[in-house]
Amino acid sequence: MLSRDWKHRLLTSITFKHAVITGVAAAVPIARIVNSEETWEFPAEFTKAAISKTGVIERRKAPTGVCASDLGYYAADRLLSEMEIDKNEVDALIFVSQGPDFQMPMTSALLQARLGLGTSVLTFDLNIGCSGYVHGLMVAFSLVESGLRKVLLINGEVASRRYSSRDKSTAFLFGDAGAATIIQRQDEISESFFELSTNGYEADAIIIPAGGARNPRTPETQIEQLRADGSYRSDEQGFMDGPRVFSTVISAVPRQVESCMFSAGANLEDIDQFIFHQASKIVNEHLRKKIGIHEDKFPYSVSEFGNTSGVSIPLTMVSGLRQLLQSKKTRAVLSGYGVGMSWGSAVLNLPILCVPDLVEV
Amino acid sequence: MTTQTFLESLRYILVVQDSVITFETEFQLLESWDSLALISVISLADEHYSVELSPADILKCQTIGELCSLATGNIDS
Repeated sequence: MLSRDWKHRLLTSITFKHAVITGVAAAVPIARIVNSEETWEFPAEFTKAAISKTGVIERRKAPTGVCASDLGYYAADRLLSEMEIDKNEVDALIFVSQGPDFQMPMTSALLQARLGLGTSVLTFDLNIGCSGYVHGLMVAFSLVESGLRKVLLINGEVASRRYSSRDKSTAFLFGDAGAATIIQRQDEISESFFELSTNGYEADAIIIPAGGARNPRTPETQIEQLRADGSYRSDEQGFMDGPRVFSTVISAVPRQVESCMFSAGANLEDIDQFIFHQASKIVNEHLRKKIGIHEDKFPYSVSEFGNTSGVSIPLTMVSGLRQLLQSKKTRAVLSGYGVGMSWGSAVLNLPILCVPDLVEV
Repeated sequence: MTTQTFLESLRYILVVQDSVITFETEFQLLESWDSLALISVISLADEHYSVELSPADILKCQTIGELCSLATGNIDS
């Protein structure tokens, strides 16, 4: 556990008094990839060690043609109907993803129309990865605190498609999923605390180097090439410097979580659940032990669904905590970390939530 | 004590028999030295010795002895 001298506190938490989450839903594709049953081009010992370290037993894979927004749509559609939400009360829709349907327009506009929301709705996309749920929540809480009635936050990623199956660092890790969250105003005071940070000096630690405006797509960028570690990867596929990511995350995240808890006046015993981004077993177990969190308060979904980027926190809430979140108020710490590199943590009071069954499509 | 424990942990990380590695071994030349091993060393140093290392710090070391000094925060060993 870290020393509690708080000298490492970097900034003041962003605080809210009236915005709360009232419902969460998640959707995953039906098709599973079972890591131990796949044919890998790596030595058997490496494969075994990698599966064990990442903790990913299986993950879900979206069929060709299914986009991140589709998975988000199914989750949102289920949530709106289960909560019986009057669509006229949804004042904003935020779509958080690194996989837009088109270069333009923004995917949130397409989701607005598909969900049948009114044309006075504010919509925009946020391009953020593994920390994207906390970032999206922070923006949604801000909008609600500023007067909007209900905000629909949709997260979606088809992460499995963006990495090479012949890349040692990422081949076993990523799964596909979508999620939807409703954030709304509650008159009675319920304080929430957020801290979010970016270290853009480490931006190349997780990157798809080509295919954007900086390095446009060429025939060469599509070819999977042999890399120094024996992996094959194209420049249009995701690269992750695993050791650098690990070292940055285990240094920054515990400090941020503890700082945010300090702002909230919360000790470890005061928190019911620590719902963290499902990066991998080795990263999360390290964070859990370093912060001093009891295993019973640290749910995992990475073994079942892999790393689903910004969707992993709501997916863990739905797949692992559904009964709990539907039956009692919960004080939760959320933390997401990754691409950017960036990390965000929050201390939230969750009222009794509407949590529909996991949607499988 | 500390250094011996570190060596034991490193044998486990590198999946090698007791006799194969010593403090003089140049660990980056071992076949089992890869990115997973690098992550495991970063984890070991932080969890057991409260030393936060970057991959670049570790890759500057030649021998296991140097790595041990760095990872255990013991500059004399």
